[in-house]
Amino acid sequence: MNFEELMNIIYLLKLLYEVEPDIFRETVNLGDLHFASDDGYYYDSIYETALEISDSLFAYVRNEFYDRRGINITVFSDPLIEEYFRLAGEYGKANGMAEAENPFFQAAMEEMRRNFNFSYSLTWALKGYAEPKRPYQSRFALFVDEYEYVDICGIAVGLLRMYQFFKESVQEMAELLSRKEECAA
Amino acid sequence: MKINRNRLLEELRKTPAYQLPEKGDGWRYVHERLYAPFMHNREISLGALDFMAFTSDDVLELLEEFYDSFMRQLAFNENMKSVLRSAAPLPSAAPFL
Repeated sequence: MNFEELMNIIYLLKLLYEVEPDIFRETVNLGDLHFASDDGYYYDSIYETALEISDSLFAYVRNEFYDRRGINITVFSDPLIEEYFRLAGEYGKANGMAEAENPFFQAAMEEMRRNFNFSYSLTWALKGYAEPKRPYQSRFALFVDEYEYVDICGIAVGLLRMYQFFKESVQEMAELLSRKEECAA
Repeated sequence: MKINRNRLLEELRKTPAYQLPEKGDGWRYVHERLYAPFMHNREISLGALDFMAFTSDDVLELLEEFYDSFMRQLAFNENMKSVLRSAAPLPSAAPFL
């Protein structure tokens, strides 16, 4: 293991600690984790664990593998994502904005770009609905080319950061909207 | 050239000790608990790590600095190699080449 790999693991663990301390306490047993510079075993197992933890953050995760094209598609959704786009829609309505001009719709796209535009073998799609017709309709998907190399750590970090983004933004938007309502009253 | 050992030791004593750059507590914590032991081949136990003592940004900052210094070292090595490749052999080494 090199220093960069060790720090990637620490960064993942710390992000999880910041985003969901309860999941961190339930799933990560720090007492079992020891590292040395000539170690390879822990690196692989912790990498896989990190990805499982990141997956478990979202309430809705569906995975499909398209054999003919060798593409793995994973769809992620969560009440947080639904709430984010519902509040974004409310904000747009209050300010007479179309979805394309809505800064919160744009911010979510930008955050996806920031976190997942790191590999030619990985693409993504984000669909947000201010008034969804069915549960988990607001969602994002990752398309991974199985025959090419994609950094698992990069995906795990991206998922954690997206979760953090939706969690923090929902709180900020709720406060922003309540302040607006207070001003209007 | 004759080296005055006492003088050398005296000069070495005057050399200022390495100071960590001015950084936040979190950065220093990560540097002391992760960077230093790793570079000295000592085992790191995460059980002893206080996850409240630093932020994820501290980790990124240290990683970025490590990467920069690694790239500088790589560039230095490449430069040294190219200098050595273009250097003329020492006269005493010529018969062996």
